[in-house]
Amino acid sequence: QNNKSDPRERRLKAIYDALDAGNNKKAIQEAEKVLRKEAGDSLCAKALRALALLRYGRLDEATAAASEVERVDTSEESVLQAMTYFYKESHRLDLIAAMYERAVQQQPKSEDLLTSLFMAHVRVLDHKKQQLTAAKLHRLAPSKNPYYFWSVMSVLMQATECGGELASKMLLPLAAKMAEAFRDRMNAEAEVQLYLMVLEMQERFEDCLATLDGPLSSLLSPQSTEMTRQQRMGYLEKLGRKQELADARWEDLTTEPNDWARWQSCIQSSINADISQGGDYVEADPRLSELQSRIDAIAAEHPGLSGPCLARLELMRRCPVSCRPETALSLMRSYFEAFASRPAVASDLLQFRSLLSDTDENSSPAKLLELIRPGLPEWPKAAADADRQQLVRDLTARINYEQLSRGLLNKPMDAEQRNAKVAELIQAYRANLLDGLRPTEVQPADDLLLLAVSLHYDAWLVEDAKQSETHLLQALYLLDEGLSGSPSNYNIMLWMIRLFIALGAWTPASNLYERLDVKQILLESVGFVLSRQVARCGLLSQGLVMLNNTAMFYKNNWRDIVEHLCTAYRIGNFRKVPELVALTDRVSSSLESVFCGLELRHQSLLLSGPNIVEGVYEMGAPPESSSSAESPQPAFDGLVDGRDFRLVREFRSDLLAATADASRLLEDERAWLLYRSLGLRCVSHLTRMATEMASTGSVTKQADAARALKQQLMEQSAGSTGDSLPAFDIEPHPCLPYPACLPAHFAAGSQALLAPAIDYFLNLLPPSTDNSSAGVADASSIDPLLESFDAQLAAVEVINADGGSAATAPVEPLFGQQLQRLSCLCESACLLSLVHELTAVALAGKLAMSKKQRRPYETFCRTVRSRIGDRINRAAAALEALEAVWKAKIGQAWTDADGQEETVGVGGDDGGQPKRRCRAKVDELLCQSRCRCLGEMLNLLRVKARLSETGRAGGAT
Amino acid sequence: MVSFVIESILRVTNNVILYNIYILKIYHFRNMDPLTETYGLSFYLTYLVHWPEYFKIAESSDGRVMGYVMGKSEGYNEKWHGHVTALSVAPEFRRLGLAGKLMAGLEDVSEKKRAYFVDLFVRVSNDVAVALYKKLGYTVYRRVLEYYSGNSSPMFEQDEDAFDMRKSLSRDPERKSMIPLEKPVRPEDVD
Repeated sequence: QNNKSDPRERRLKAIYDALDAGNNKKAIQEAEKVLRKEAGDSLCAKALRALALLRYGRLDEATAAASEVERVDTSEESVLQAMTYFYKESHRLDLIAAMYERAVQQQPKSEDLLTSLFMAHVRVLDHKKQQLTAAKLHRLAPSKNPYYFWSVMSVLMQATECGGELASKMLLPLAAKMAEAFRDRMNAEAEVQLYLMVLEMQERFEDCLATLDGPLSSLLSPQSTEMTRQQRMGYLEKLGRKQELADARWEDLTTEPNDWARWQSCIQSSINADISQGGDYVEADPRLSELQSRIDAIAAEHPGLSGPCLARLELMRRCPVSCRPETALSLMRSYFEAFASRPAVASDLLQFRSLLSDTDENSSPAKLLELIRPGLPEWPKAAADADRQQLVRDLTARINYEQLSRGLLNKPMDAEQRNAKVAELIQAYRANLLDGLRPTEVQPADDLLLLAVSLHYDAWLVEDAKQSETHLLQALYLLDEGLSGSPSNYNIMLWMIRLFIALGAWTPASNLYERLDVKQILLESVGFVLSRQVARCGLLSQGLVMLNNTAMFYKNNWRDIVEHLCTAYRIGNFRKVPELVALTDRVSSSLESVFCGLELRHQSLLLSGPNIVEGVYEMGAPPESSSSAESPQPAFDGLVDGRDFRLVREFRSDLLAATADASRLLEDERAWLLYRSLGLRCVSHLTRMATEMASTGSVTKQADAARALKQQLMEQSAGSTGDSLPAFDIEPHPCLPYPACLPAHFAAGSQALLAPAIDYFLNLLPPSTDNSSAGVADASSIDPLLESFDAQLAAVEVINADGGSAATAPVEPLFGQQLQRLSCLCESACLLSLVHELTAVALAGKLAMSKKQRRPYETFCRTVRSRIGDRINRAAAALEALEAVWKAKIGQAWTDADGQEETVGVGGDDGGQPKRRCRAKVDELLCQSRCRCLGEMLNLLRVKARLSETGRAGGAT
Repeated sequence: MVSFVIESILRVTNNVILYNIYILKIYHFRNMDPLTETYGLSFYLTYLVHWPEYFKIAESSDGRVMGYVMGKSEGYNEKWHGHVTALSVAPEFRRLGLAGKLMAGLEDVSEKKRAYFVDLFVRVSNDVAVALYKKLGYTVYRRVLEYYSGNSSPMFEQDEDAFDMRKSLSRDPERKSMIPLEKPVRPEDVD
């Protein structure tokens, strides 16, 4: 306030205001104004200018401006703060610590600066330096507890990080000693919790319990009682005091007698306690019946609770000796009969399917269904005067029954059964749509429609009909009908995304994905439904945008988490410190993050057009991409798979099994990442080879690395063909990619060009002692490369000959697969175009020589250019023909649907057929989207073809 | 069947802390119904670091997140209160009484923190939620004009008012904090 009149402060304020308002251009101008007036003296204005330049996207100038600030040692708060923002936003958190180190040297007694330095170390997880800085703070202000406990926490985190003897023999005893020295001075709950954390790490659980019961417990707040109770049980468990633990668990259950997790813990701990007392259970063990009556007692005390009923089944599952299938059956039956009208009852019961017998008819899953069927309500019918609540209850019971029978029978139906069931479900669905729901609400009958969709999907899987679109289309028509009645049902949208992709229609899938508003944290669990499809849907600019968004999300995540880590220290929530550190690990090992980062680089490399050479360099070598041949191939170990495969609800356990093997799924992903990163390294290395040739006249330095890469390529493709990876294997689970990316890419031969491309550059300029007389390779050296491209092209031209018609083509009529092949073909065309450009780069020196000397090189270039151009044009022609087929179909679906009445049989029985309106709409969407995909790829090919025609390669820079 | 996940304590094996990491459950949120906003990671972390006791998650018997509530406590003197920041139950787990359970947990924490009342904001058009809160004992304290700004979603193109709903706790036996205001207020006047 005092500075209001100070013109210098006023001018600085103008910069801050512009930055706050997001007007970075103005901020740059204001900063430059200050610098002119003050002859460049204001360090703060310089720092703010750097920040504004960064935010404006002028990165080089920003870096230059920042290094000007860095040259001056300062402890001026405003400068340090501006630079802190600069470093945070340029993802260089390490430089913040370095800057504050220098500032502290200037003012060693400043608590503020030391605190900032401490936080700077926190941001880069440097626990050791945190400890040293906190110790300095404690010496400056010995009366302030937080500083002291910061250093205890920092020691604890060092122990967590290093583990082993160093932790157990040195760091942990040190942390314990430090905490104990301050026992009498503890005055906050967080400090007690920190002390407990140290004791926990030392496995001194008796001491933990003693602390919870001792004088320090007075510092624990009333709202922590729940947490403390859980802690106490955790300590009992660790100490192996099984009986006490079981008692505590049962006690805990009485406060929430319908909490499933508590039931599970109770049963588990009681079994453990019993077994530790006197060996395994035997049949008719009195302890078992005691446990059962304990459950029954709670059931009697709280009639109408579902918990005790499921608990009996849980006991059987955990203790098979107590399980008699007929008892399980009758328990399941009574559970269903009691709770049928509540949602999610089918999934409650399906987890106990294994308790039923597959051999004894009287306790088989089919028997269970047979027994509960008579008790089901009739199919309800929505009518204006119907009791809506009763209707929803009846509907839910029927839905539960249908879901349960899908899960219990666990196998696909034959065609006749299936058609009848689809008709039944769809008619019931149509009869039970509720009027007057808000668009944000979901129709309760939607689950019937989704079950019918699953049946169509089953049919696609089993009838060896994977080559036919019919069943997928039928399912899509129904889903479209469902979505118009329930515009916010995400289950419907997820199914549609999957089916549209299977049918090679990116645009409608991506529109639905946007409608789902998948962003932020959802990218980790849901993003895969689309991110995995970018590579198979053609090289789409939309896909690139999507990958970029995801990559940015993860990049910013780290920064956000460490800011909260600072907060946790600042407010003394020490329990959250290790959790947040674990979260940084989780983020940096996220499969989705690595996948999107790699795919983004790969796609942008291929799409980057005329700037491709700079593109390779600009992307630099982010650590995980390891695009240079010298750096070791990244192993992609230890990734965490956050994909949520339960997004699409499925009840058949045989289909669910496909997602159960997490390690296999992760291994599949890893194989893909290795494949992609090898491809990326090769492309990047080709560029290096070309530049080396341009400067030295031949490939020498890069040659060994090139051969090594080629070797790796051979090994990878050898390991990826053969019986283990069938060409177009379709994963049965509706959430998994189909076919798996990698085999499909190999089948399409997209990697096959890389090895010949390496050979081509290795032989392009034969090494020679006399540089001027070095010859150029024979133009036929490009043949192997072109042959592999021709093979790919031929496969596509076969599709083309059939006009992409699903009815006649015997091979791969599924457009999703065609598109995948085309997409691979496009990738290859981009690679060819790159080879062409790099040839020009490599030969640039030769082409600048005297007319006579350069002639052979010119001839060579011309031949390469025309042959590559010819191939790209042929690929474009293939795409163009296919596009024409689909263009002709646009608008037809509507015409066909016009003037035709819905076929409705006697008594409104339409056999569950899809509505004409939905068929026309979906067909039209498919046509348009396919055209769009083909069109976009075609444009790309034309750009590449033009590049070779205009002879940019001949001498352009 | 529902489990209410409580912040678990650490588990120690061979000197390595194995946390049963509550934080990571954030990634399991199924925020795809249109009335549930998906925030940046940072937003959830703010709540987890400052008010972990107010974060409650309900899980299904097969381990899916069915719903969650997050909130905070704030205000001075007789305005010291618990606030519901987000309450979400996935559509397929509605009608199980989850929302009531989650809210009860949040009210319980507010009681223990000696708050006078609990409050929340809800779209005036969201009559399902308004009815639910009324059933749980909340009343409309005031209307906040154009509290929700319109967004790109076709369902929420227009700005929309909010109801500020309140429920007194035992520290406010006369329910003073629930006496409705007669006139609506602007968002900037909400304290």
